[in-house]
Order: sequence, then structure tokens, then C-alpha cells
Amino acid sequence: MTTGTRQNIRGSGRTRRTGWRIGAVLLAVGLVAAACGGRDESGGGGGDEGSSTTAPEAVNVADPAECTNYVGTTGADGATIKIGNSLPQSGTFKVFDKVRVGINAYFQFANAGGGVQNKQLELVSLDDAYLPERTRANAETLTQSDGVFALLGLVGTENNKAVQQYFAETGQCVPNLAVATGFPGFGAPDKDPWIINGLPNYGLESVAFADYLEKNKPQAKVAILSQNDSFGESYVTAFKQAIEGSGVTVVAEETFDPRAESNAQGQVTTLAGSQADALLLGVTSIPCPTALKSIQDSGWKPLTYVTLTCSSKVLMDLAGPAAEGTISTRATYDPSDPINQSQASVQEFRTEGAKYGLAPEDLDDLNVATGWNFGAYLVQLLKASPELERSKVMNTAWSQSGVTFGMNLDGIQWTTNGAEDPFGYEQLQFVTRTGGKWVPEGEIIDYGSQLAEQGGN
Amino acid sequence: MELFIQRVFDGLQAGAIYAILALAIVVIFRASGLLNFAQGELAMFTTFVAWAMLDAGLPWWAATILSTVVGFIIGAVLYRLLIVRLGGPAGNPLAIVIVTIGLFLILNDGAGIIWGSNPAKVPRIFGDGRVEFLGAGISVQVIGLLAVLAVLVVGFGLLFQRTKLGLALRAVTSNQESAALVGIKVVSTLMIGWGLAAAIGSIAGTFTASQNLSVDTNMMQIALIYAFAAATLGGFDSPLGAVVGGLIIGLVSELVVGYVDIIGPDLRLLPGFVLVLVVLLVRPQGIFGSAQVARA
Repeated sequence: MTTGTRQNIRGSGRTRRTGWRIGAVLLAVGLVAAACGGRDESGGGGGDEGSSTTAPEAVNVADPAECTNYVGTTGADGATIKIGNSLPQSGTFKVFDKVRVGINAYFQFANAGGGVQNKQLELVSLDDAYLPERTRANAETLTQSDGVFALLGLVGTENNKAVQQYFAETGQCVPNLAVATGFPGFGAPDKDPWIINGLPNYGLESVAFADYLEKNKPQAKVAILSQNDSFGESYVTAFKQAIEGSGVTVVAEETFDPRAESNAQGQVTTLAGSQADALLLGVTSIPCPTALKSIQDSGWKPLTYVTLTCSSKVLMDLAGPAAEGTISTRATYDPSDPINQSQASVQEFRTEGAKYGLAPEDLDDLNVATGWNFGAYLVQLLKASPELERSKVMNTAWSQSGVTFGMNLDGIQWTTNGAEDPFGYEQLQFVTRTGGKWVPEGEIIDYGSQLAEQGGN
Repeated sequence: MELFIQRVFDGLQAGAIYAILALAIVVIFRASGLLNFAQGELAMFTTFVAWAMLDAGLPWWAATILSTVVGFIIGAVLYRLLIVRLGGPAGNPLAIVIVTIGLFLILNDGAGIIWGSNPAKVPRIFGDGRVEFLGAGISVQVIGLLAVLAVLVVGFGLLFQRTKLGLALRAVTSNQESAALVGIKVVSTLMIGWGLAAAIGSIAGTFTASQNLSVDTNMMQIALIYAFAAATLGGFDSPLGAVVGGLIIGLVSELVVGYVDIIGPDLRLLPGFVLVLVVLLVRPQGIFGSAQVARA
């Protein structure tokens, strides 16, 4: 079967379900999202989130002159600021609807504290069932009928690509903020300054793992198991770039097709044969813990890096003891982890979230936490912007420095600088799976603008 | 050599699941001349039932057996309440095939509504142990799975060939009218056929969940595609064919992908389906299937 055929199948209704694991990727994204939260270092409640040393207009990448249908203040010129969102509220990927729940709770929290410039935030969220064509239609409804000022937290790489294309075709320039994917292609303000990632770039993790190996196992022979989609490719490309010129080498590579296989048993058998001493596990959702189990069965004991999306509580619980000794990274606090309960930002999420409509199970839900962090990101961004005008907001988004918000780890400073530094998250904390928990290892490491070259890939 | 042995067992592990699910498909086909597209989702649903019992504190083996019984009941009830009312397999075959597709969607969404869309943790039925075999490490789980498959094959062979029920099932398949005339209760017999198929399917579901470490609403969908291929390869009316077909497809996929460099994992579906195509060109009825003979 050719790749083309498979894509056709993927487009059909039936295998949309068959290939839900694509969605799993997305789910993973959501979980990551969850993992990356924002936190309020300023300690100010009531929506007064974020401390920032932003230098607005330091970059000027979003230029209204390039938009044939530009209106700068739609959705923000009345008593409210209307924000649009589209994600799966029905169907197989309904779990992501929790991102909306989190955003909504944060908006209410912020509104109780006076909103932004005395305007209340209003969220309009539509269901796309994770279908890119519906996300596109929703973007049209949100901008043409509802008149939203900006979009926030749209779920899915392909879905956001569809929105990006719609805006390009119609010459509209509407900020698409904190998209719920770590796809590096959205970090390209020189090509499209109107969309910005809300999750750590997948490539950042590869850079971090490469760096870890160069320091701790400089002659490491690495095996790679990755999904054969944009998620997996993002990890592989970035990892290979990052080890260039070092003693770390890739000795074996296998890919996994989440649409045609339910586990990676065969690939693990092949990779185990290589006897590599480290493994980059660029897969997510259920195939990730099952791969860890297969590795355990095989008797192979590589130093294994699992993706941030795989490191979620749900998936790690499935892997159980097979995950012991694996490493991963963190950018945000997981509010369900007992270890984090004393963090001020986590306590704020739990108490204020509960006050503004979050159910007890929502308070342990990573997707809700992700939505909360997106809300916190938006509020600090709008406050930092010199005025509520689309291009000004976007240029502010591309020139923030050392911002803290939501449940981001203490010490994580969200920083962007146009195309030179397009990814807000550029620091990660290494964690090791020890005794069924993720234990932080060393300090938070700053990978700076090493990531810029990944933008647009 | 170790790598080869390891790959053979990887192939058998995947193939055994296809084989069991294909067996369920074949049992329905033999009993009613239809394909049940909801077979995989029925298996998923009953596996969730097993998980719910496990969660309630039952030991794993008891949950498995009980869920198999639940599967039998669901299959039989579906046949009696739905399929018969639609005119039965003989009366309205196309409508029933479409209904099974509808069931697919209902069961998938229904399980999501009842048990949620997050994966629910399931232990390995035969534990985490492994044994050394010619230098390769084989998990006890795989050996247990193959043993269960062997029991099913022998059991169904005996059922169809050596029991009155098996005779009735074969008679109904062959000619419903004549079967009724010799005193076989056609509806009850077919109910049992559908029940048996769903029960077998639930075993496939249990093992898939065990392999995935969890049960989730979409876990049987890839296996169902392979199971259809397995049934096609072995012959739709042959239980033995279904099992052999499943094992062959599992083995071929694993070995070809493992040893032929140009067919990487991206083309994992290819070898099995090429084989199916080749076999069908030579033997349209499948390896063990019986040819359709029409009177001139």
C-alpha cells in the first residue's frame, strides 16, 4: 500500500476511527499542554497574572499592510473582548474539550479580577470533532459571524494548518494564539506571524535529550523509534541536527505507523538487536507504554527518553514498573501530582478553578490545566500589549521576554524574539522516573535560541 | 537466530489475535452467511465489561470468563432482537450488513459514554514473566495466548464435528429450510451461533487489551482489518482456515518487514495483503474454504 493510499484511507470516515491513534498524538499534545501550564509568579490573583519585562514593538513582524482584509480592533472595541476557540467537543477526541473548560475557568477568574482594561473576556468555542475542514469552517464562523478578536488554544496540528490556510486565502489577519500543538512549523513569524505555539516545541525535547547525552554519555549509541507523522518527524529531525559534531551517534532507527499497527513490538525487537545504549522514544499515547513494556520483555536496557506527551500520569500508570529509569522533561506543573501541591500556582489553580466552575475531576485533568495556562497566557499578553489591536498584540507576542504565567515551572521564563527566537518555551527540567514518580534531576536548563532554526520546519 | 525466533514469536503474538477475531467472523459467516462489521467493537465492549468487573475487585480470570458469558448473551440477544426482526440473514442480508456497521458506531460511542475515552488499565493475564527459548526471550503472555488459541481451535473443531449443536449449526448454514423440516430450531441455533462468535471475540478483546496494557474504545479496529484479511486468506467458511490465515498474516507481516529493507514499517500492511491477493487469484475460496459449486 502506498503512502498515498494510506492517506486516502485516513481521510475516510471509517478509518478516521481506525486511526484514532493519530488523535492520540493530538491527545498527547493535549496532555503536554497539560503538562505545560502557566504560573503566576507575581502572586497577584484576580486575573492579574504574569510578571513581564516585555519590550513591546521590539520586533515588527505582524504587518497589517500585508493583509488585504485587515481590521485591527474587531471583537475588542466594545465592552467585552471576544475570543474564539475550536476543538473536538464530540467524537473520539472529546477529551480535548477539557482544554475549553480550563480556558473558560481562567476567563471567569480573570473577569472577577476586573478583566483586561476593564473589559470582560468572552469565550466563543465551537465543536470541530477534530476534523480540519470543520475547524476551518469554525474559523470562518468565529471571524465572520461572531466577530472574535483572536483565536486561542485551537487543538491539532492539521486543524491549525487548515485555519492558517483559510486566513491566508481570505487575506484576514487574526491572531491565532497558543495553539495546542508543539509543531515547530508554527514557529515561523517571518512566514506567518499570526500564529504562535502554546506548547513546548517537540524539537526542544530532542535538543534537551541530545544535550543530556553529550554531557552524561558522550559516546552514546542511540536507537530511535518514532511515529511516521509530523509528531515523530519533529523529534527525529531536531535530534539529528542537535547531535551533529558530537560523539553521539544514531545506530538504529525504526518508525511506527499508528494507523496500521497497534503496538511497536516488531520495531522494539529490531532495535533491541542493535544493542544501542540509549533510546529516543518519539511515540505517544498507548503505543508508548506498550513499547516500554516490550523493551522490558526483551531484556534490552537502554537509557530511554519518553516524550513529554507520553510522560503523563495516565500513560505512565499503564507502563508501571517498565517505565522505571526512563527520563523525560517538564515545562509545567502537573496539578494532579502530589509533589506539586505546595506550589502557589497549583494552589491558585485548585482553589480559584474550583470557585469558577471546575469539577473535582477537572482539577486533576491535564487538559483542563492546559486550558487554564492558555487563559493565563492570553491575559498577560493582552495586558502587555500597548493597545487591543491585532497587529500590536501579535508583535507583543513575538517580543516577550522572561514572562511567567499559569502553572509554568518556577524558573521557566517565556521568551520570544521574532524569527530569531520563535518558541516561547526554551527551558526544560529533566525528570527521572523513580519509584513510580517523576523526580526532578538537576536544574532547569535553558536551550536559548538553539531552536530558532527549527522554526517553519 | 535469536532475532529470527524473536520475530517469529512477535508474528505469532499479533497473528493469534487476528486468528481469534477471524474465528469469530467465520462462525457468524457459517451460521448466517454474513459479515459482522461490529465484531471488533463487540469485543471491545465486552472487554470493558471485563475491566469493570476487574475494577470491582474480581480476579482477572473470573472477569475474563464472566465477560465471555456476557459477550455470548449480547451476541445472542442482538441476533434475536435485531437481526431476526430485520428479516433474518436470508431475508434482508444487505440491510443487516449495514446494521452491523451502525452497531460498530453505537458500540464505539456507547463504550466511550459509559467508560470514558481515557484508556483503562488492564494487567497481563499470564503475568510479566518470560522464558528463554533458543536464546530469545519469549514472554509468558505470548505462550498463554497461543495455548488459548489452540484450545479454541480444538474446541471448535469438536463442537462443529462431534456435537449435535455443531451438526445443527452446519445444517442451518447449509440449508435453513431443510434444517427446519428435520426439526432443528433455526432461530435458536443461529442465536447460539451469534452468541458463540461474540464470546470468542471477547477473548480476542481481552488479549488485545492485555497486550496494550489497557482497554480503550478504538483498540480493536486495526485488528479487525487484519482479521478480515485472515478470514479471506483461510476461507470464510473454515474455522481452521481463519486460524491458519491469522497466524500466516501475523508471521508474514513481521518477517517481511523485519528482513526486507525496502518494506519498512511504513508498508507494514502490504505483505499480508499482497499474500491475500495472490492466494485469492489462485484459490478464490481461500486456502481452506470450500468452492461455490453451482448446478449447471
